Parts: sequence; C-alpha cells; structure tokens
Amino acid sequence: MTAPTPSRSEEFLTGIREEAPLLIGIFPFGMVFGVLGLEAGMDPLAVFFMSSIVFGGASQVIFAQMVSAGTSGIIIAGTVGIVNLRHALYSASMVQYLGHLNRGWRILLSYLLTDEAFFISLNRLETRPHGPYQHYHLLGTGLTLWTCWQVATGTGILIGAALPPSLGLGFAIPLTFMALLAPMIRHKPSVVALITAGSLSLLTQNLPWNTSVIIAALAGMIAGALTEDILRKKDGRG
Amino acid sequence: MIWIVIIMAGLMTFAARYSMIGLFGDRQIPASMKRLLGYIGPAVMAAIIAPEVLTVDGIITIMDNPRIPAFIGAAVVAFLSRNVPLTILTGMLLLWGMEFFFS
Repeated sequence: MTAPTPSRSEEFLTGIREEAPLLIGIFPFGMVFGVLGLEAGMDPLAVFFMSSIVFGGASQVIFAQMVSAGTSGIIIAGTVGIVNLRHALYSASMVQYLGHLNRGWRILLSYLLTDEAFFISLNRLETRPHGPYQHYHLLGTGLTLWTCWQVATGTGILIGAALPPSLGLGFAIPLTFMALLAPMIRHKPSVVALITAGSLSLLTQNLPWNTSVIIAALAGMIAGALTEDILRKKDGRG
Repeated sequence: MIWIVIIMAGLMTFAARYSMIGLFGDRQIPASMKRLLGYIGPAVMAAIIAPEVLTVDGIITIMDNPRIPAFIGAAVVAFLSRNVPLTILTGMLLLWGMEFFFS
C-alpha cells in the first residue's frame, strides 16, 4: 500500500512543524539585529521594515554594522547583494522543484528562500516522495521563518536594549547551522566540501566586499564533486 | 536616504533568490551544475560557521576563545541527537558557563 499524496494543508503544516525547532535560534538573532539597528542610529521604522524588505539575517546585521561605521549607501547595498549571492545557489537547487509553477508562486517562494527555510524544505524535497503540492512545504517553512523574524526584530527594537551584549546571542546562528549540517555529512565528498569551504572562508575573510562566503562555498562544492569523481574512478578500477 | 539603501539591498537579495528559478523556469538545469549543488549544504554552512566560531574581531583566535569548546560540545550533541533546540541550548549554555567560570 502506498501512502496517500499529502494534501496542500498537510504539506504546509509539515513545513511549519519542521521549521519550528529552529526558531529557538532565529528569535534571539532577530532581536540582536533589532538592537544593532537602533545602536547604528537608524530610524526604528527603517530597522523594522528592513526585516521584510531584505529578509536576510546575516546580511541585515552587516548592514547595521556598516551604517554605524559610516559606510556609503552604495557600498552597503552592494555588500548585502554579495553576502546574499549564495541564495542564487539555493535558487538553482529549487529550479527542478519550483520551475513549473506560475510566476506568482515563483516570486513568492523566491522571496521566502532564506537559509533556514531552504535547507529544511530541501530535505523534504530530496528525501520524501514528490507530490503535486510539495511547494506548500516551502511556503510553510518560509512563512514560519518570516513571521518569527518580523516579531523578533520588533521585540528587539522594543525591549532589546535591556539585553546585555555579553549574552552572545549571535552565537545561536552558527549553532543553528551546525544542527542543520549534522545530517548532511553522509560520505567522504561531503566532508571534503565542508573542510574546503570552512578553511577557505577563514583564509579569504578579509577580502573586500564580503566575498569570502560565496567564494568558499563555490570552492567547497567543486571540491566535493571532484572528490566524488576520484572515488568513483578508484572504485571502477577495483 | 536610508530607505533607498534598504530597498536597493532588498532588490539585490530578491534578485539572487529569484535568479535561477526565474531564468530556467521549467527547463532542466545542466547535470554538472546539479552535481555541484549536491554539496550546497556542507559548503555553505561551513563557510558561514568557520569565521563565526574561529575568529574574534576578524582575526583567527584559537586560545582564549570560549566559542570553540562551546561549539565542539554542541557539534557532538548535533551528531548524536540530531535535535536542533538541544544543539542550540547546549552551545549557549556551554558558552555562558565558560564565560562565567573563566573570565
């Protein structure tokens, strides 16, 4: 007996349920951004609406840091663009799952394509049977994250000044990624991808325009694929 | 002025997210690209995590960096439990514990 195809609401609710555990890391991070934005001297409304206009955690923190350093607007916007270039890779991964949808859906789901929603929904798309409503899963993860991010930013703006910076709440983000990463380390090539990207990201950190993450990520992906080739050739020869 | 910068930043972010989905539509992406994308998880996460954990103010810092032992503890929990909240809580508690006892 095959399982029945999940309905729209089943996919959507599964997305919400699977995104929920991450909020424990996202919420404090959103508050941290709210506080940093105010400390940078930005208008509270600008800080708040940045979370829906940009909707990209790490890049918003960098935005606030650059505002307080007095960086020019063009460089700030350009840097945010480069920091978020990795999302073009997510976009490429999603082509096979979302490409057939109408323009409205593609625009909406692209807007919601953040790190934490993407990786949770990618896991569903790669590991469970395809269904006609699988895009509702990404709608569920994306909207859950979006709502949490708006509320967290607002909370940070309102009460964040009471948070002592020594709490180190920003550390919640690498921890969240660690939790997502653990199940992805499945074989040697993925370990090679991880080590390559991590080391290169450290080495290229001081490159201008925050280009290090995208360079390191691309190098890691190439290193992983090459390792896969080498291992396959070895196996082929016996 | 700040609003223009925010909107520009938002448009660039959206452009990255929409780029491939918009460009390819229902056509297939090349097989070689698909294979590279198989490593997107470990590559992107390691690139984000490494500097967050191993540097202080942009400088690689191994000694006197409480984030490293806190992160290692959390990583062990992540691999054993596969539980997101437990991983985050372990890491934060270890960080706070270390800062409380060693500073």
